[in-house]
Amino acid sequence: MNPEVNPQQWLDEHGDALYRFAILRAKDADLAADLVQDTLLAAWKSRDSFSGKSSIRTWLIAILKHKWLDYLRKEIKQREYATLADGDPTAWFDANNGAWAAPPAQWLDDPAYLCQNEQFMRTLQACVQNLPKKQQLAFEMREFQGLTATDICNVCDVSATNLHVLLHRARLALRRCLEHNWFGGER
Amino acid sequence: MRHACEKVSQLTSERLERRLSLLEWLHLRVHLLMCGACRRYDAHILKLHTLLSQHRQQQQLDLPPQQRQKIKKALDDTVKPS
Repeated sequence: MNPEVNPQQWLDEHGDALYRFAILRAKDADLAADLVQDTLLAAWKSRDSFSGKSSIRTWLIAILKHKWLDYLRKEIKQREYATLADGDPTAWFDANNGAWAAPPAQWLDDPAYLCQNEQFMRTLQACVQNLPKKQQLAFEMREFQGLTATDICNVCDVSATNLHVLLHRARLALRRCLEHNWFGGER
Repeated sequence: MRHACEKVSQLTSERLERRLSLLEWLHLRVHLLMCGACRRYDAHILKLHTLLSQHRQQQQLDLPPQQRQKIKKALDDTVKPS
């Protein structure tokens, strides 16, 4: 067998890299491993399509990315979208002059410390869970999985403008939720 | 300017997704110079963004051995040497 097309060798050499890519997005160890397996099997099936122009790893990662986006597409279809009973965080600006109705308070903790603080991360997760579904999904993909805005637009089939609005509202709401529940700024 | 903070809070968020135009960027900077509340908002959103990207980096892990075995087996079953 041509050593270039040996899935066992792909697993040995690129397994960790693929898994890392998957776990960062999927956040779930089993799901990430399944994605790696699907990727290697799909790569084996379409081994003839490997042109040799890119490295094996780049090729495998590209397949994995497709697998992940496919998974998200299925997920999104399954989720029910809350209709627009979404609270409107832009109402926190004065309707007359667009100034802050309740200005942000001071946050003291350092990000490097916060991201290792489990309690803070749990508080943040809870705040994210409270977002309207679309905002939650957009924010998770953008900030927890680190997808680019372009990828999210493709997967969720929303326009860039739409995505910006979703993320903007999510950030407004999260910031306030964290202020209430963690930083304890006055009101 | 009417609705200044509302507009600026939007720019604060959007600059994490796309490159602002020069005009937007100036608008944001000038407003932040003058407005403490928006300066804070901007800092909070940036902090949230930074801490989540650090969080992502810390999660990096290697493929666990038992999962590796499972995949190895699945590959063996599919790729039967003829």
